[in-house]
Amino acid sequence: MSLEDCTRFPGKHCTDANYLGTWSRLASLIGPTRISGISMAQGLASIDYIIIAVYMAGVMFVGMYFARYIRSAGDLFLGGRSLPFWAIGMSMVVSDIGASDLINGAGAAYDRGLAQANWDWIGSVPALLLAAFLFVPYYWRAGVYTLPEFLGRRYNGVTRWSLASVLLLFMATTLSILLWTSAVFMEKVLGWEPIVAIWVTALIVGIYTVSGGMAAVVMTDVIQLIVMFVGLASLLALGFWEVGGWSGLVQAISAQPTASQDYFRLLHAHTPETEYPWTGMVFSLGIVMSTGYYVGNQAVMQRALGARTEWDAKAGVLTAGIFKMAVPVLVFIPGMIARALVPEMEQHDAAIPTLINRLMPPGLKGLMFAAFFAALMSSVDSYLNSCVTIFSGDFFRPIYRVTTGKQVADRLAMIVGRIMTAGVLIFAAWLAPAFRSVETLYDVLQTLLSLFQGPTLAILLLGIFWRGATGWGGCAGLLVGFCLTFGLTELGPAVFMSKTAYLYVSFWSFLASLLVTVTVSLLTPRDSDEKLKGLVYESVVSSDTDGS
Amino acid sequence: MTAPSWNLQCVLNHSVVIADAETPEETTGVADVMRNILGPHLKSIQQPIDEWLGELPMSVAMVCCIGLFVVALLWVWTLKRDFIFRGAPGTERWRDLRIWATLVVIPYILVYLWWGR
Repeated sequence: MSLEDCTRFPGKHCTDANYLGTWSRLASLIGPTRISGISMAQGLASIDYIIIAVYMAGVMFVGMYFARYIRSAGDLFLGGRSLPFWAIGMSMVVSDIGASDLINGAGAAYDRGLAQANWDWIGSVPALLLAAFLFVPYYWRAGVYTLPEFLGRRYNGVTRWSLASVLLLFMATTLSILLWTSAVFMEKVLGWEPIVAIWVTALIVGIYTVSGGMAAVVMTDVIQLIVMFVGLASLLALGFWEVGGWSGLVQAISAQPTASQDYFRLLHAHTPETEYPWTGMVFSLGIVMSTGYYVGNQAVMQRALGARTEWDAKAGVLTAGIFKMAVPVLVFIPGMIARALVPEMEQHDAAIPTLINRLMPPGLKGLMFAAFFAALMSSVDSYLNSCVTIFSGDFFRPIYRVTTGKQVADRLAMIVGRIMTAGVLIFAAWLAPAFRSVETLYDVLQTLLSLFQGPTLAILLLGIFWRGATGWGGCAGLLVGFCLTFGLTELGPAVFMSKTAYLYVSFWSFLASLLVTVTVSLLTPRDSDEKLKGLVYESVVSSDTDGS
Repeated sequence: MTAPSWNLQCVLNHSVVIADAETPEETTGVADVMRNILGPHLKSIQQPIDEWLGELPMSVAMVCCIGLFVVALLWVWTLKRDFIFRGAPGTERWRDLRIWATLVVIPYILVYLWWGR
């Protein structure tokens, strides 16, 4: 799938590829070669620059403030397990909204309407309920730092390191792309050279992430969410004012001959012409992809692992579900308003930039740009912290233990964690310009993402609900699932009817991983009850009944 | 000869795509074998499924969609009170996460009932 295909078939995997793929598209789309004539900085007044500067300084100050509370590796990676539910929920949502949602998500809504909201509605709520009440309690009670660590305890080391490697590759690549995207955005807004912008972004995010760790990431995310929501709500209000409210929006778009009859419908028929067939939305996105994303993505789940209590962990995930309702309203409806106001826009992804330039006065425009920076920085800091947590938890600690025969001292783990954070950031910043000319980046990232969603969910479910799932069963299920998603992604257009083949790739890889795990588990020796204690559903439920 | 381009196709094909304007790109390897041999077989499995799903009325789509939300919510209400409140500083009514879940899910059900048709 080319860059242009990605523009045609956006979705969670394509519009933001769970934060990723279209960061590269964002980079190219907001670059001078793609949106000609639309300058993001058009009409930016002094007050706007002041607001942006105050915002950046404020975020850095708040982040650094939390450095005083860092005493151990647990403080650095999990915020000392002291995070309240409201901060967890807000942080999960803001990490989920990338600047690509503001650009490509709104652009897709401009093109095909309300169905875009499925990615944040049916594509989040059932999964968040499962995450809150099934997976989070297990992770939290196991006291793990990372998801691969949990799978390592339930299955074996090979399973742990296989998933950790895939996640690490996925997140490190993402980080570089985020930095590159950030650079192009700053070049457009502030006129900076990309290389300067990369290092400035890396410096700002690096300072508060290295010093303040997860607590800093979460608390700056809270600020970033508020800034984003206020900025977007202002844009929505001005847009509705201009278009004459919801009824005016419906009338204006219905009068356009090019608008689809289903423009204001969430569910579309299962036909080859539809990008978002209901089957893919309900069964694949609603059940497999979203659940795999929320429970199998370290960058999302790490906040819940840092909760001060199990109740806060669960409540935090539910809080994210509340905020999720607002995301399509604030992000996608402005895209639809842009269609009502500017029906023949050449580049649909310019919907929100066009609205900003057309509707927002000085001051509010600066706030909106701050919202864009918030979206960029919240994703960079989240992926940076999670990347280092996996590197430290799943590679450094086990290797140190094997080579020295001792556990890593907490202070050493913290120091190494900070050095790693700085090292990963420097590496990502150094690598970022390499993505300037890579056009097939989307393929690489989307494949990396789909590699772990279906298979990870399959072995997690079996591991929790079925005592008979063995170490080698889980390992085989995961690895076969990885290979299958790799193959099916390559075969996608030749096999699947839908233009959005990735919807079905995830679903089939999930089923295949289930089947392989069950088969291999039945052929290999079962794990002891002692090993499974606290890791399978029965033992956790019985511990509640006992009041323990 | 220019530098090989880095993409997934290269990895899958065990080959290197040479950026040369005069010679067309030639790729042979695992991906082509999969496409030519596995592709038609998988298509023959997937196609009848697509045809069957395409004949289903949209009312089925609505039932499945709303059903997903309702089933998830009903499952939450089957969970034990001890499990729901575990770790909570108190057992006040507002801390009951089953009520939170209901308040989260109901707006989504209403939205899909209204705009899903």
